[in-house]
Amino acid sequence: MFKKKSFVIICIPLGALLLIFISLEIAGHLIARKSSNQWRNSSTEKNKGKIGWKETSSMNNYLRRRIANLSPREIYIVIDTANNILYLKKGEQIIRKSVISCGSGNILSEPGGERKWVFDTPKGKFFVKSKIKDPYWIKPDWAFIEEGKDVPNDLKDRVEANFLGEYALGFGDGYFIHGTLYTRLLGRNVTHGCIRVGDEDLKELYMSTSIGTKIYIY
Amino acid sequence: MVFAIPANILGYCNAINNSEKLLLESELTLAKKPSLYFIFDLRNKKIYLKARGILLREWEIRKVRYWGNPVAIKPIALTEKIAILPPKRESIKPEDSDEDEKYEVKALELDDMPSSYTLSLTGDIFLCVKPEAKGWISIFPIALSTLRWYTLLPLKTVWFSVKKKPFTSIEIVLNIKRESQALYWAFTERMECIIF
Repeated sequence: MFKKKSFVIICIPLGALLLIFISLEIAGHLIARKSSNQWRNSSTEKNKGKIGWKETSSMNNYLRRRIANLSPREIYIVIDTANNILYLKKGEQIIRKSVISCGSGNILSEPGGERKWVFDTPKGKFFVKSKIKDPYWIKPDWAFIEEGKDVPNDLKDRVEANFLGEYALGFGDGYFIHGTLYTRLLGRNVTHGCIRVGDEDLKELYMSTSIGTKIYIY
Repeated sequence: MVFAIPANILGYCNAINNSEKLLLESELTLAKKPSLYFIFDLRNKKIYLKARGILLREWEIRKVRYWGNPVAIKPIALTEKIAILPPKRESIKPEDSDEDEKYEVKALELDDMPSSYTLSLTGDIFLCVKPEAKGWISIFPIALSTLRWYTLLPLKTVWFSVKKKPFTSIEIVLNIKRESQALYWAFTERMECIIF
């Protein structure tokens, strides 16, 4: 008799919870079904009788032309940071495809300090702001901190030659497309944000682009 | 000879035309901005990453299914990327970095990205992205996905209905794991997209 009573005590609330759960599930399905009917009807209902087929088609062609007019007519650069590939393009045509290195995504924190650096290659739309031949690298503070060295006060202690290859293309905020000594690491995300390119590809890039050339990075 | 085209077919074609007009108007808004944007063309099962109207990258969708309220054809922004195991950045220890012959690459790369995740967009729109499950080992994730679709989503629908807010969940299945990871990599927070 005792076992029967405790069994009932357990079953009733469980049964009630199950009933509530099933009711909520049914309610959810019904609401979703009503909403899903709106997927089918929404566009037909909204635009009934407002503008005719011919006018809409004409408007659509006009909009396509306006979008097409926004795209660059001359050479531009597209950088795929996930696969470490750089494309030199004109319109839809790929002029050159290069294996590169992009930002590592690592974090460097200054020991005992407040500064922190995240080594990502920035994403978005940029343009070539500077073109440099035989660039020098002016080492920033993080380069010394990363090596566990003291940050020098003298500018001449920061200058390193023959480190960035023969050419460099700057696109703002201290980011450059430049050469590299570490060609075996091309294809990997190993840089501090800049884009490293092999010598042959870099030369082609430098010769083909000019100040203002668009760069799209994703 | 007179060809009579049924009115409902004309109406359907007009609706497609009008939808395309909304898409183009929205795309023009985004193309005028300097930032990159996405177009989720669910009808043609394609995802486009674009800038200034030019196509940067394309993904092919294997399967898509919808739940909840319809999505207006207008720009919406990514607010959050939700994954069970989000990627973690490595912290550089000073003095350890050394680009010599023994250098071991420690970096956040494409392989570190999750392949199954949810993209939370403005207006309580959720895009659940995952790669196509293949082989006998896919039974478990498929079962989990089905369970989620038919039990968790109805509960969420009721919850949002009580709060008088719309709720939309769209499940997108891509071809392979790497494609899914690449989408996670490319779609960054605050980036805008259009779902068509």
